Amino acid sequence: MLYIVMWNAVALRWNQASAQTSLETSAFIASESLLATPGEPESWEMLPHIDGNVSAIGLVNGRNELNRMKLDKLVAENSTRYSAIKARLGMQRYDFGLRVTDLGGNIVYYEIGKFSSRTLGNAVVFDRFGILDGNPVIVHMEVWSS
Amino acid sequence: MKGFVITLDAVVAISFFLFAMIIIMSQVYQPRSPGQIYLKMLTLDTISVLEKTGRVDQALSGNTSALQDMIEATPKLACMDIYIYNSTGDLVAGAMKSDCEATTGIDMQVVARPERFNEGDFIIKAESWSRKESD
Repeated sequence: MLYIVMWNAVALRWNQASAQTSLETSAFIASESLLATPGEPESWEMLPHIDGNVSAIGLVNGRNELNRMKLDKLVAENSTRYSAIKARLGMQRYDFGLRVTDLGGNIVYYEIGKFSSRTLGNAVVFDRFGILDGNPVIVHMEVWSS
Repeated sequence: MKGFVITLDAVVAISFFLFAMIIIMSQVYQPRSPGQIYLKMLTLDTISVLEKTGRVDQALSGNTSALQDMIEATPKLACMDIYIYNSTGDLVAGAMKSDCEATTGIDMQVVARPERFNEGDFIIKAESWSRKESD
């Protein structure tokens, strides 16, 4: 009986670690896609919708240089095609929220996705830097499993 | 005698197994934040944004707050310093995040990039590491 209890505890801990690693990996790859690539096709924001014609989503012209048209398109599609956006970012199994703010975090320029209202064990929250209209901004990202 | 040896063998085996299980169970998993991959991305972002927004040039002109503002905006759990060297290796500008202690070691992420300013060649070096409890 003791073996079963101990083994179960070890297995649970292992699963927790594995799930967290998987979540972190997905989140970092998605953020790199958003902040280091224009997406595929490069002008995906010109298409009517985010559908089968869009294979990857990126938000920049060059590394960290945010493109307002791409951000506007993502905001416009957010409410109706949230699942498609997640799929293009390789995060089908998770939810995500992305917020673009000034360096002080006081002015919110864009908000995309969903933000968890509670603190979850299996979540990753991080900030990266971007450039919007020539000024440095913070790209805040939260990825979590529900 | 044979029964005793078998029992002793079983007890030793179980003891090893229990010991291994206790060691494994005592390992408390805590999410690494920020992890090394994240630190590397953050450092690359910082140096790229500093360069593309002209803040490196401003720092070379004497306005080091252009560097300081950026590194102060990094997450609380990350520490960072940025130094700019000229072609002879002399330090010409730099900034270090406040409330962080300088550190060395394999956990540090380092990114360097060349920069040309006013006909001169410079190297920008950014280092980042996870904040320790004592920082």
